[in-house]
Amino acid sequence: MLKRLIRLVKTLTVRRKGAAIRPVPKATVTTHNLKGPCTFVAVHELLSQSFDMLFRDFIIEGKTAVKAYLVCVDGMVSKELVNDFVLKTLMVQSLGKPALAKLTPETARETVYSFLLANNEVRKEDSLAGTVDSILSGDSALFFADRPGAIIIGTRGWEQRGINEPTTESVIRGPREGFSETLRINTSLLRRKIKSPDLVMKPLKIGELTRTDIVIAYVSGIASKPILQELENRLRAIKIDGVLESGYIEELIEDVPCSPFPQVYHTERPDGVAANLLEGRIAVLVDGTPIVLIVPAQLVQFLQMSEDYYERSYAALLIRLVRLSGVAASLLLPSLYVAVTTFHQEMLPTALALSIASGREGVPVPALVEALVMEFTLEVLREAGIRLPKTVGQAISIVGALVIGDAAVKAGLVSPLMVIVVAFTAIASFTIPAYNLGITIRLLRFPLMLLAGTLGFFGLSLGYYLIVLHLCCLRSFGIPYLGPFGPGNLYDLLKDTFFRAPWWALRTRPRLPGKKDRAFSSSGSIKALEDEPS
Amino acid sequence: MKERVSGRQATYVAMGVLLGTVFLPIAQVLAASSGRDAWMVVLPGYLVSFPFVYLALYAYLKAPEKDLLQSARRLLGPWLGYPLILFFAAGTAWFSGLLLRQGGELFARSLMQETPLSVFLIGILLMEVLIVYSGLEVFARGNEIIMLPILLSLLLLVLFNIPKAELGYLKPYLYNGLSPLYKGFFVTVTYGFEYIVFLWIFLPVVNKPHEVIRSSLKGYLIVGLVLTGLTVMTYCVFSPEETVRLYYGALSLARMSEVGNLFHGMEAFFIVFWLGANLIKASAFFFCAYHAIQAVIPFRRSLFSVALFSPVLLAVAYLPQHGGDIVSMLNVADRCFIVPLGSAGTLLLAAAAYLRTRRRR
Repeated sequence: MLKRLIRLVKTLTVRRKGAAIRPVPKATVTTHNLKGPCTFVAVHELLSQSFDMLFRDFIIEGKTAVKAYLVCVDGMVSKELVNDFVLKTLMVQSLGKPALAKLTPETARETVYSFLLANNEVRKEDSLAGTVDSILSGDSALFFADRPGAIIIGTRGWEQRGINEPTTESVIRGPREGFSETLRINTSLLRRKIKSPDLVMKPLKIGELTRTDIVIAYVSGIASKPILQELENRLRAIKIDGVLESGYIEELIEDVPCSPFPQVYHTERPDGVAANLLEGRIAVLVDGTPIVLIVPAQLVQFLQMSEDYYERSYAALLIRLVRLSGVAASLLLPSLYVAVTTFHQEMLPTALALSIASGREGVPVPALVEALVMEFTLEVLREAGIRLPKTVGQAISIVGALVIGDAAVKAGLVSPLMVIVVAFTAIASFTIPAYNLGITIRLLRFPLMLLAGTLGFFGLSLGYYLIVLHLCCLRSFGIPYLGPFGPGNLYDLLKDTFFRAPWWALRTRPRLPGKKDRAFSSSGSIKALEDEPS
Repeated sequence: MKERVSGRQATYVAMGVLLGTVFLPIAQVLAASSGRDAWMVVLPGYLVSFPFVYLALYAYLKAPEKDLLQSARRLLGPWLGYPLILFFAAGTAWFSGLLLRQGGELFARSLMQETPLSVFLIGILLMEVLIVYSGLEVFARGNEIIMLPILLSLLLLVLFNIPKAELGYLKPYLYNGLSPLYKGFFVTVTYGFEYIVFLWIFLPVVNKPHEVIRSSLKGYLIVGLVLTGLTVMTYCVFSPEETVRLYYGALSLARMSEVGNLFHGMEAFFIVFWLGANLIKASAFFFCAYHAIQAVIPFRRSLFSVALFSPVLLAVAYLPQHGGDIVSMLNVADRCFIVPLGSAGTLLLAAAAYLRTRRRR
């Protein structure tokens, strides 16, 4: 029993290395372990059970009539591409071409590949696994008679969301574009930002059944090689049925899975990802989600936004200080209220203490219960506001905040100061730019309130030091999570933490191990800029 | 993975261990021994132990892969080495236990008189166990994060009390000559040796051991100046004669601090940060005791082994009958264990290392 309990705790707390999260049964057919000849018959046998598969057979008139088969998935291919640039080309436009004079079933693949298909994305594929994988990813496969081997034609094209402004990371100043669910669009958005051959994008497939496309993006020469290697190792070690969102990957690659703090940064802004790549970090793009993961992550990153770098540095300083105060208030304010009103009334001047006492007069529950109930109500309202349709959500928020709050105070269930504290806490929590850190802060608020309610400032201190100790222990891909505070780096600390130094002073990238090229803007490039005629 | 601490972190560790909770009793201890001019001896008293940093470093560099406890067995032989290690373990465990009690007393006597002392002791001990389990690298990183708020809290303490300060309490300077200063000088000398004892186990984790010299000097100077300032402020607010009768000078100053008409009695606010200072020092000596046990019986660091050792500290923490005994018991522990270990022990190890090198030549 004890052993099982220890094993369970270990499973939940220790990062798995290469172990399957949900092992796939051996009988399950997955595309990457398919064996056998790559023929139309084999592909047909595998895929014909689904109604969305398209099998189109036709004849190409050459030296002899060669029967060809086109296989693709309806809805995942562009009909225009398939009809105009594959079928029409092979069946109509190729007639009479000299290349067809030599066409036989044996030479068909080579001839069609070399002379007839006017498409930029064409390749020969000899493995059954690769062919099926391509078909299921939206490409078309062309087979000739019963010959093995296929030609894969890039015909991907499906209904997709356009490039919109990210709703979770809106900015006043900055680009209005956000990633979408299509990987190719996302990579192109990134490529448009960094037009350098050093921007490397490595493809990978994860998910035994979903075979989700993943791209590791980094700037060669800036990104740390050991971190890149570690990331690849962790990604390749993932054995899971499916990856439907980048959150799956995030949880599987983070250093300490049991920590409430996010150890992988994510964003849906291409400019944010590009900036991180230029700082030497590595991005993981996952097909089917606009959320891009960035590693390694440090706590300070979660309090910054791309807009901080677009506004002047003084404005950034003010905004960051406001955000930091927001984090502190969001985490500590309810606990401070509980501790002061329950244990440390001597901290308050008599007038204020009397005012608070008169407000609490008639409230039937202790301050701790009052705070817990109010915070819980706030969480319910927040969740309801997110899930409900926008118009109804706003109405619910107003009803919750004003009507219920006011009614609760009038009924003597909660004190007016408690309502003010909870309302301010809620507003303060919205200043946290990263949603996942916001959730963590909300989560930690409850144990801190419990500690403050039972042990006053001593409990609050214990909670605070426990959080600090935990943060000191955390690492993201080997990088201390609290950097550049601990281990401290005065230059990085002054450059881009609470302050954002002016761009002309930001000459080096943040320190990450294994990174050689640290100059953001080398003196050479600055000189070149200065030499340019105005 | 081997633990590594940078020179910058070593500075913070030096500050943390040197400062600890010394700022709480220093004003009244010095006032009792040296009167109104006692503030002059804080920095010089601290600096007396600084040369021993060189000696510790010298002994360590003769066998850089081991800490001084492990080297002690090799340098002094089992007959002298083992007793020294056991003396070290007993002394540091005793000292850490008393510091644990001091942390508990800080809350029990000032903020929450009705809460049982055991609650505070167990809470602080739990934190110490987690810190020791996390290792010296995390401890150093934590120092970096915690030390700045602690120093800021002391600065605020001084600033809040400037309006109440009366410089006249310090005058006339050296009215009784230099002779009263000797006693106070010897009190502050003991505080400096606490850090030397901690260096015995800390040196192997410092990335570039030579940087310890500079880090330590910075630590000595900053802590010496901060404590001098605090002592001066306590004398100026309460007068040296009244300070002798205080429980903790800094705590009384905190009690008198106020922010306009919004907050009175800021001690609760300050104690949150001072608990961090107590945690740093108590954990540092917990580390020492734990490493000493490891030097005698080699075993891997685990949460279980750290927790197994922790009741010893708890038992020591329960020994003083009254909270008022803590300061005197800490002084006794300083004189009986810490100063002999830090001075004679370090000197012995350095001499043994020197002789060994000479014999090889």
